[in-house]
Amino acid sequence: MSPVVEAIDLHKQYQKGKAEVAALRGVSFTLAAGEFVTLVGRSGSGKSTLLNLVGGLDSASSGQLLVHGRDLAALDRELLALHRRTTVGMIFQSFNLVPARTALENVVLPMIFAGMERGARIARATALLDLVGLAERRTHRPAELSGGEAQRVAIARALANEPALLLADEPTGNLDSRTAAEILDLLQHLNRERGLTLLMVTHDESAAARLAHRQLHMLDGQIVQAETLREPV
Amino acid sequence: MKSSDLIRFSLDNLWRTKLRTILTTLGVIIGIGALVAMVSFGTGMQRNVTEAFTANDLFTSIRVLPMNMEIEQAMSGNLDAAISGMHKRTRALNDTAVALIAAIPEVAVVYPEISFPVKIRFKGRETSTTLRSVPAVMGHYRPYDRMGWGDFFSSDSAPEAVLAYSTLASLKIVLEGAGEKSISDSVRAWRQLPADSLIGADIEVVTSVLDLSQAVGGMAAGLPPSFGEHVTRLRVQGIRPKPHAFSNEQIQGGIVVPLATGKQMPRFAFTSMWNMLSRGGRSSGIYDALYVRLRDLKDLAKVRMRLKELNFSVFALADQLEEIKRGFIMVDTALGAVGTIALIVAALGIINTMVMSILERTREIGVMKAVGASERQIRTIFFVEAGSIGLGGGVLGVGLGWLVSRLANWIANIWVARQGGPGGDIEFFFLPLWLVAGAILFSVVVSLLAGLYPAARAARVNPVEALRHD
Repeated sequence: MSPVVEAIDLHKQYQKGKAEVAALRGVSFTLAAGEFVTLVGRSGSGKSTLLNLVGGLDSASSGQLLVHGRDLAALDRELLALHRRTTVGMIFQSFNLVPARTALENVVLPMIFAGMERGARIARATALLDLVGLAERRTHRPAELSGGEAQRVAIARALANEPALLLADEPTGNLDSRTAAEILDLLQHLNRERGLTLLMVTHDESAAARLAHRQLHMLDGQIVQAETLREPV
Repeated sequence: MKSSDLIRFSLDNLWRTKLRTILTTLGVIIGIGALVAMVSFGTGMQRNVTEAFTANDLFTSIRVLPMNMEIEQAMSGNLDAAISGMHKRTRALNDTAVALIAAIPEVAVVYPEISFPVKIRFKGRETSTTLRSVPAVMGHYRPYDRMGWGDFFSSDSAPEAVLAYSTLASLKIVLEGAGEKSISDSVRAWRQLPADSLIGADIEVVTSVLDLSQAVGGMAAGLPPSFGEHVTRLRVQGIRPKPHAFSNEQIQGGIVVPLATGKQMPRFAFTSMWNMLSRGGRSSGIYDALYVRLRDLKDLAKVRMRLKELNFSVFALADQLEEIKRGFIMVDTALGAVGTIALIVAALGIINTMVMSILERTREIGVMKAVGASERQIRTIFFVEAGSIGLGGGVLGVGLGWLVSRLANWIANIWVARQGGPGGDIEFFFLPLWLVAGAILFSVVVSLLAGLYPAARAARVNPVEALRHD
């Protein structure tokens, strides 16, 4: 089976003021379908940069990044948007919900951009909120939700267009340990029960170790160590 | 993204910042309101003037004059040229001339202009006015084709007359049901009569004649020549409709009679006196001017050329029409420019609002991009937001412009009435459908142009940076 993600010698430089920063310096890895992989490492090691490249939010300076066999570097901006809309779902440390919109409206958002029928998308968003355990909170705005609830809404939104790959950037970074554990359990559930491929950036190596199949250690823009923890079911 | 979603999405965004949206739209409303009020005033004036001209039939007719009146020269102040032109001999305006002009195929009607001052007595009242005689065939042409009450006269020699509406006013007669305000008790002198009682009624036309028997003896005795009165009895056949506020129907005669009837009336015409002197006394059968009506305005140049070849002197007001139209385009442009300036200020308001909105919504734009919005979708959302402000502002602005024009019209009518003018129902403003549609379209286009830069800027937002944005 071909890998979901295949990165070959990825480099990423960007300008920070006058200085040129090399965020990624030759990263290569693969992600098989159904895998739960965590990216760990110190701040500035390039974890988030790598995640943004896979998510199609940014593009690599050099190297190849194949997602479902398609090279992201070859996609124009329209197709890259399509990649973000349908191939991947992303969640963030700070949830990134639209404050003015209700939980349901936030989940509906990606489906609007995909041109889905109104009735169908509301039904689907309701089902997704039910899946993350927030059926009762769908008319609440982000300000009225707890951190854990907001992250659940974000997860539901990430699943809106049925992506095969979920990218999580420190999803528990803003949560207390109990809520964090609940979110991680939800992610593991999605991985196990739905076969969702998961790439998660985290600080919490112990939690990661508890759940992930593999753990990639990053340092100074390179993957320095890859350990297999358990085999995917 | 579906269009319905796009519109709902954009309106949602605008509604979230109600106050700012309302203030920005208010700018557009005022801009469009000013534009509409200004241009509808220009259009209204243009319509009033051209309608008055058309009602008086000044464009489709040519006047053939007895001498080479260089009217354009005279009007532009070049009197020497005008006077020297007067000495060029032209063809005499007699019945031969009428026949000659009638033979030109593009000419519909030609007849001598016979008009002179008369006194009329009607229903026990008396007033002075101008009598004009025209052939019965003119009943098919403007301005005599439409009668207010009764009919045009039946033949060229019938003992009939048609009265101008305003002649009734100088006789202090008000027609019942003519839409006039009822006469107050203080104006006892006025009589209110039904139109039926006027049609078919007798009218006396009094002309001044030189009393020859007395004149010779009187002049010998050093007395001024004495004038006698001659009374012609006619029947009122019709009354012309109430005229347009800006037109002077008395130009076409306070009383109009058939051509032969008018010719036969004995009179001492002052205008003929001039002819007598200038033409060495050969005055019999010489007319003051000939009226030539064209079949079609576009033949004007052709007919005018032919008349000049025949050595006639010609004056056509239609020549001035282009000049008048050009003048109005300039007035409209000037008025429109004032409104446009207001709209440009409003457009800057839109740009400001949209740019502010992008700064506020940077993170949201980043989120939208992260969940799959394309640059084109983001750009379109901002475009629709700008266009909605333009559309809303345009529609309400046209409403405001209309309200302002109504108010100004009301005030202007009161003012005109106070100055003793024909107040009450003058329309100074004209808001045609093209102006309504044009103003709204203009508003939308200007708003979209104002949205170009903000929309492009929003589309270019870098999602990675935007998601880090506070």
